[in-house]
Amino acid sequence: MQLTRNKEISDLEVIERYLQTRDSSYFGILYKRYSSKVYAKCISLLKDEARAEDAAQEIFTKIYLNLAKFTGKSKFSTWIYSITYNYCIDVIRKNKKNKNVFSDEMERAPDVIDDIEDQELLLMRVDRLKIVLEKIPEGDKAILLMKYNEDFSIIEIAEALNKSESAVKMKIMRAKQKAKAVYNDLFKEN
Amino acid sequence: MSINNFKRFMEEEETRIGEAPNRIDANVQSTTNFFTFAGNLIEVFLPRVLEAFVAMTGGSNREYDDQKKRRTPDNGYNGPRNFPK
Repeated sequence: MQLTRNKEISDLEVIERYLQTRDSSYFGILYKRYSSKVYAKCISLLKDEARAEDAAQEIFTKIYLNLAKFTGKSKFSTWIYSITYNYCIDVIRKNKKNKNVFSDEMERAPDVIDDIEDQELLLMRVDRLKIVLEKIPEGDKAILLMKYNEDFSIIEIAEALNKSESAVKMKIMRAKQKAKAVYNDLFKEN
Repeated sequence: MSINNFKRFMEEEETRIGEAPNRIDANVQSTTNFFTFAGNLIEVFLPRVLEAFVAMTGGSNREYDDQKKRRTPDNGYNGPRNFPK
């Protein structure tokens, strides 16, 4: 009964009730709603269960400590996932020697940049898309997932990554190019 | 709007990975309990500790000063002890 009632309460109502009462069971509701999704994103980006567990724990602690700062301007899921991507990219960067996690940080930009149609990526077969996402730099994978899986706007991605909108647009363009190049290398002749 | 293959990919990943381990829940709970406890501690005891510290270092206690201000001459004040009767 309690669970059924909890399902009817929106995230924003749960947050408001938590902030009014400081009853940790309300934070528990949010944890139950989002823990598996956050954990799956952490494993998908970090590719290591132990690191993903640590990351998920840190992310939920951050959410708990900053819950009062959530204004409801965006959806709660957008807020929570932007913290997730931001944290995972930081972890990846810290564990890399050269600190570069995006294509545009690793390679010189080509003289002419052709923008790739979204449909070219969205219609890739899932099994192939999975392989492509494993082959491209982790930052590129994260930014493509933010755009096409979470449907984040450019502004939301910019806020999540602490970058300018133009830098985000460039990163998306380079990530799409990289994904297409990997796809062509692996599957074009088949 | 039709589902795109990025969403399908992530759905498959979530199904494959399943629920987050209980360890994470336990650790998050203990961390949040600690912060709640620390917050309550600060909220309840810190003002008292500060007042005691101020009093010990010779400063004035605002609550005590307010009480003094509220006293009228005939309310708790008997005049100087050596005042001739």
